Amino acid sequence: MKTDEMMIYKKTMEEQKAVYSPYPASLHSDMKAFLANDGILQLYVHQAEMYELAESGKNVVITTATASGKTLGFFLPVIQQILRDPRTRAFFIYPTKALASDQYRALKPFLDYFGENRIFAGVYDGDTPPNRRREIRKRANIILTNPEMMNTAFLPNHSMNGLDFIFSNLKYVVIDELHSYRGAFGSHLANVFRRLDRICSYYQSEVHFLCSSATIANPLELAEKICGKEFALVSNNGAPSPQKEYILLQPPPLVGKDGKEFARVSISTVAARMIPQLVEEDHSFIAFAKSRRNVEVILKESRDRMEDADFLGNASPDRIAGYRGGYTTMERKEIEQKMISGKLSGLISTNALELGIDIGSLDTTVLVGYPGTKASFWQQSGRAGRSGYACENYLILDNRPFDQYIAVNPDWLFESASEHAIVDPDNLLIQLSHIRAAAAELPLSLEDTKRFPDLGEVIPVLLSAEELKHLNDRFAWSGAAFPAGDYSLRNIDKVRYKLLNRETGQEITEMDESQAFRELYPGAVYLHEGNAYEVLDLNLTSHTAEGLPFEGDYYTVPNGKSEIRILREFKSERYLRTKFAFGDINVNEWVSMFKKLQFHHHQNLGYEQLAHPLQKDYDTESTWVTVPANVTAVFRNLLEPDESGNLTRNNHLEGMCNALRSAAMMSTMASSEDIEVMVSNDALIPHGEVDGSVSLFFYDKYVGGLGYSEKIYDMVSVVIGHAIALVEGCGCENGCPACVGDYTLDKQMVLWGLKNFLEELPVPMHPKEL
Amino acid sequence: MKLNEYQRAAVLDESDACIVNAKVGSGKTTVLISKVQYLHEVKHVPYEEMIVLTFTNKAAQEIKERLLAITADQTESGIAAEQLKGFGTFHSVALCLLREKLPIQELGYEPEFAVITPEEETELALELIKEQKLKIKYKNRLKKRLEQEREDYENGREEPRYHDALFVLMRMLGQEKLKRNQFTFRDLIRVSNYLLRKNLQLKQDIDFHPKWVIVDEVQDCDAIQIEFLTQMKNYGAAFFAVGDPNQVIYSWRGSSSRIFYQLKERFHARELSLPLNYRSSNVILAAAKCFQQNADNLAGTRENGELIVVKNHYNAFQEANELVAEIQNLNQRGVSYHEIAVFYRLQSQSEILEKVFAAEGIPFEVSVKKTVQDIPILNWFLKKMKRDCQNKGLFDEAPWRGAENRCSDTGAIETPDMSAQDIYDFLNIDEHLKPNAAGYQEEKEQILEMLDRMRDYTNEQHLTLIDGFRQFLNSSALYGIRILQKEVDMTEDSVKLMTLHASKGLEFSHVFIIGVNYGLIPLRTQEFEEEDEERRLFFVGMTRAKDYLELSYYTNPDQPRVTEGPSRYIQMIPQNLIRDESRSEPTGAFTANGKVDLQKMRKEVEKSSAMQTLAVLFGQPGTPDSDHTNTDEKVQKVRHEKYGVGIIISEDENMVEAEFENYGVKQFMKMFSELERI
Repeated sequence: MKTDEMMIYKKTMEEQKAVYSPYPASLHSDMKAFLANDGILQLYVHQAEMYELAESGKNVVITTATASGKTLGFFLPVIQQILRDPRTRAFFIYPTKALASDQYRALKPFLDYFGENRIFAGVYDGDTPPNRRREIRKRANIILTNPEMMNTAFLPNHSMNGLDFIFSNLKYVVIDELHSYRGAFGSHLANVFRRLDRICSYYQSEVHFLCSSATIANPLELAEKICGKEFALVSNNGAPSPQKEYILLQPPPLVGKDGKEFARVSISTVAARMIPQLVEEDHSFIAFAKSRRNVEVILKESRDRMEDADFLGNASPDRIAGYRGGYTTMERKEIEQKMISGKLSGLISTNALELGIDIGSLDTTVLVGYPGTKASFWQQSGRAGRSGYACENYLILDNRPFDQYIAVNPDWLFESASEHAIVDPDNLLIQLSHIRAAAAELPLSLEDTKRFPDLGEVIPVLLSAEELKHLNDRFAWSGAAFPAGDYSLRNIDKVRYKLLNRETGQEITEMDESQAFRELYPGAVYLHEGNAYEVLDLNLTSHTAEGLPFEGDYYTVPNGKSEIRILREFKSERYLRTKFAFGDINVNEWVSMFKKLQFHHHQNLGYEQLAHPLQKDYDTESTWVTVPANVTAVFRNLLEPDESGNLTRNNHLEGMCNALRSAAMMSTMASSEDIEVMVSNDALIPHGEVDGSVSLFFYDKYVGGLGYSEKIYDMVSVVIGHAIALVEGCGCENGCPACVGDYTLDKQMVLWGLKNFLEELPVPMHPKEL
Repeated sequence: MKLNEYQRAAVLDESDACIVNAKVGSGKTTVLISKVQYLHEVKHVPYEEMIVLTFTNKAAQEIKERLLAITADQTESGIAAEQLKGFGTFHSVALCLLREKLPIQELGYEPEFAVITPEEETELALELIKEQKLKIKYKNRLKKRLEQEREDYENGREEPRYHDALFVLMRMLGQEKLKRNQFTFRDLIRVSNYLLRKNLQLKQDIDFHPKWVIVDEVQDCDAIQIEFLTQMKNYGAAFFAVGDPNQVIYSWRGSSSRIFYQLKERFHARELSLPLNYRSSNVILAAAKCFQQNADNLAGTRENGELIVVKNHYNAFQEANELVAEIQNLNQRGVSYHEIAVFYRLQSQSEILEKVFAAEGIPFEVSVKKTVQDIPILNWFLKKMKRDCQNKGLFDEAPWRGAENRCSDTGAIETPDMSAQDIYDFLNIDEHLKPNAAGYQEEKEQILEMLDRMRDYTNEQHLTLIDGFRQFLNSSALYGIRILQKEVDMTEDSVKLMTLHASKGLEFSHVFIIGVNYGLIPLRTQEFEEEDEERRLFFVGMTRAKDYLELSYYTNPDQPRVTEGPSRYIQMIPQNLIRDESRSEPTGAFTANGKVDLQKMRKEVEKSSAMQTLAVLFGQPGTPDSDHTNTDEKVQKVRHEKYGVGIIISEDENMVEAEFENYGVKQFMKMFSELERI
């Protein structure tokens, strides 16, 4: 298993020379002295551009690559303002505590140079002790914190503890890693900033936003939606970049006795083979795995490998370490230190390190599986090459849709536009959560309708619940103690179901409600990392399921119905052979029974009825595309009866859904918990009207929608194109879970169905008819 | 001046000792002044032979002013300030005695002695402990211990409470103060008592022959103050005192509610009473009665008046905003700002009020009692200066150095022309204040102001800067106290903000008492007696109100250890005296297991089925059905951005209800909705 043999694609990106710009004329002389003292005699163009835009009062979002000196780009305008007016206050907001601490370290040189009486900064989060908090509230020009603290500590207490001084003098809000605020998290943050805007207008301060984002398709849109202001974009990178090589690796196939491939070597195994070699060659590297567990597996297998008799190197197992959530701060600091000093050759990490933490310069990255979004791909691989020397970046492709799509279309990764980051600040549930919090901060007034579009409908309900009281022409909070604590920013639906091991009480996994209904019903066999558990009980009040390890030889598939009802169509268009529309729908999913299927030959062992059907009924947003009539007709004829005689099997429309789902996820940075694609109810009627009324619905798996479907509406042609490429390019012989979702479906048939969106094509020969 | 029969009886009373049990608002001050006037005009007692004692400078000032105003009206020649030397606080009268009448040299003091604050005395004590290596327990609360155990020491107790060297320290402290020619406030009275007593025993003649001693708020006397009164009496003065046992709010300072009766016994005094309250409406009096020390009668002379309003607020910030709205309202209805006061239990509660009032443009004044020691930055600054000024060459390097010239003929120092800012810069005070700190501006101003005083003092005294500063710092107590005590100006047209303690003796037409939560009103107390005092304090606050009294509490208090919801003091007031405007608790319709169910609430917003409640809330019962039956009326349509076109079902001045295809019936507030009529 040699790296060269697995290589299926190699891309070299040439070295980029730096593009400099002299110090801006208006830059404070002390700042120039500091930079000169630090050996920075000129700025990169993007730094200078950001500075000038910020100085001219613009909100700025910068999207240059990792390691391009974005941090200095933020610091220049902010520190300039602090030197000008020592009362200046700025919030620096980071998505994680670890990143805030790391960026505090990046600020250290400024703090040391200017002294704490000119610039004072501090990390203010859940770990900050009370006396330090007091000091920061009183003195810090720069407060490094996270969205949660903004939501629960700063805004609700704006009138107390000296926070009023901070809000009165707030000049800048800096948001690092803007692209990580998407979906529910981003939509919440947008509402946190709506509240910030109210508070700042009360204290009559004018705040400017400076944001940085990984490369995404819509940085301006994202920044404007989250911050509620107009933005200017800085995207021309002036930082030098060394020559970079990107190598895609396809794990070798595993061939059975019959000479047929039945699987591929796992990506962890491939990584564990590569890592000892990297240590041996004294590379400095980081490997990214997708879960904590994978980190541990790769770490152990790599170390074992180094101790193997047939490993001919001298590499010592203690030159690699794991780095993931769950380690203490001290442990992490120690690991970071060892990495910087060279005691460690490499780390195996989860994406904790993706977000800009400094561990010195690396020459190699190994991505064990495609990280799911291009933004993550570029950030993870961008960890290497910081020192200016050439670097190599490996991506080991998993046997999953995205990975295999990349295998056939590497250009998608390197050439095509990046994904859109989606947020929907107007999601009613999120808005409602923050309207309540806002009311407790300052009485709601007419002004607030500009910030919260659904305020007029929310107020009557809050009034009737006696949470608000009419006060002159405003509405004051009279509800419970702390409305800002009633929701989580990182999750729209607080309902998360846990599967616990009944004997040990250990948590096996966690998932959202609709997934739980499909996978954790009583009687279900749940497969988790190679182990099977039988679910014994699902408690809808405590949101927990209990299970025990299961030795049986069957698995289960839920059965029930999903119904979609269109509530209102907002807009629609034609595209070649399809019509697509965007609107509100009602989704009614219920699971009433399940079937048991034997492992290996998938023999049906019978149905079981659930004592209580599980139902989830909600309104959301959807984009639906009509399936051309000729496709509907053909696919209906291919339907096969299931055990109870209903024509549900062999539904090729579901194959189309599967490919379209993967394609939509690629374009919107969504995960399978964010969006779903489903066939309309009339699809299964064997001889229904042949007028093309069957539709495929893309919908947000969030009550009220989170903006994914709306974005998909704008990108229907791209999504269909990706879906076709995905199925067409899949390495499988005749349909696999990666492309059409089910090996029983005919891949060529699904592909034909997808292509018929674009042009009418003759029906391919059905293999069964061969 | 028109007096009622009780007041007249008190003024005309001829007995050698008389104590007047004056109900709150019964015209105590009027009686006191009339008495003085009566003695002077009818009985021809010279003002110089009257000792009139009060507990605050404010009260003494008021008496003097009213007296001056009355006599100015009459053709009689005006009163010279010199004649009213015996009118003042216990401390100032004692100070005057010690300076001018009593032979303090016998004890080793000089007449130009200095007065020091308890804080300075504590500092001195700490120095002694260090110097003499004394073993003292609980040094961090030494000030409190000196205060609490001093009486033990003076009464000849042998061992201090904690069996340490505290009494040794007290002895040394006494010697040290004598050596430094310094008096504490308490020493002023104690030493006066001692010398007065000794002189009488030795029958030495001193020039002190008071005819009358007249005391205001006599219930607030502590043991040595009573002793002082006794001495006055021994020197031949007739005794006349007014007070109210229900208003003892300084028991931590040594007074007690029993003192009123002890005095009566000791002086064989005749007791009179002023039972009629002229100030407050009957409703307010009836409510205040529930908080009286003694369940005796409190009779009013006025109409019943408005009910007492009870409100609740989410937190202090929201309360401040609502007060602003209410006060603006009152002002528009013709109530002057100076007729309005806001009382709170703790000084720290005023900050948020000040900020919000200032932001909303409500004129206000805050009554604060602060000494230098209460302001951390000045405390720090004066200590630093004391330390720095030990170095005689402190200003040698100063840029203005050399400009100081000794005037050749007078020998006085000509002070150079440098500003407080120059000195501030030279001393590099910014290094400590930190220009990026939140309180920087304010603290800097305070220090500059102090430096200005020090500089002025230096100029007045014709001293070099260093000498002037040193001298100033050694007398900082007197300066500090006089300067920083800020009392409200009752004539200024502004809302008055003050603690319940500071409200004593004042009256307003509209009073707001805020923070009536357990933990504030009353404070958490450990002993019954403290609890009693909290009640009396609330009584004092309530009885300041003439016409309108509003009590409010927090539902989400910001302060630690303050319980949400109304304190039991609100429940102690009979329901028929109260207009309860507090907001009801949230209905909890969306609460399950103590947690709010936001999803359920969201569904409700989408469904808008809260119609009934709302109709009631807005006082216009909805009649959705009648609109349907009325076929004559044209169908009115609206468009909504999200729900599309709908038909109006009902409408009132606040709400519109419309039905939309697929979405059903929705309600909108007219004020906020984006409905468009079509």
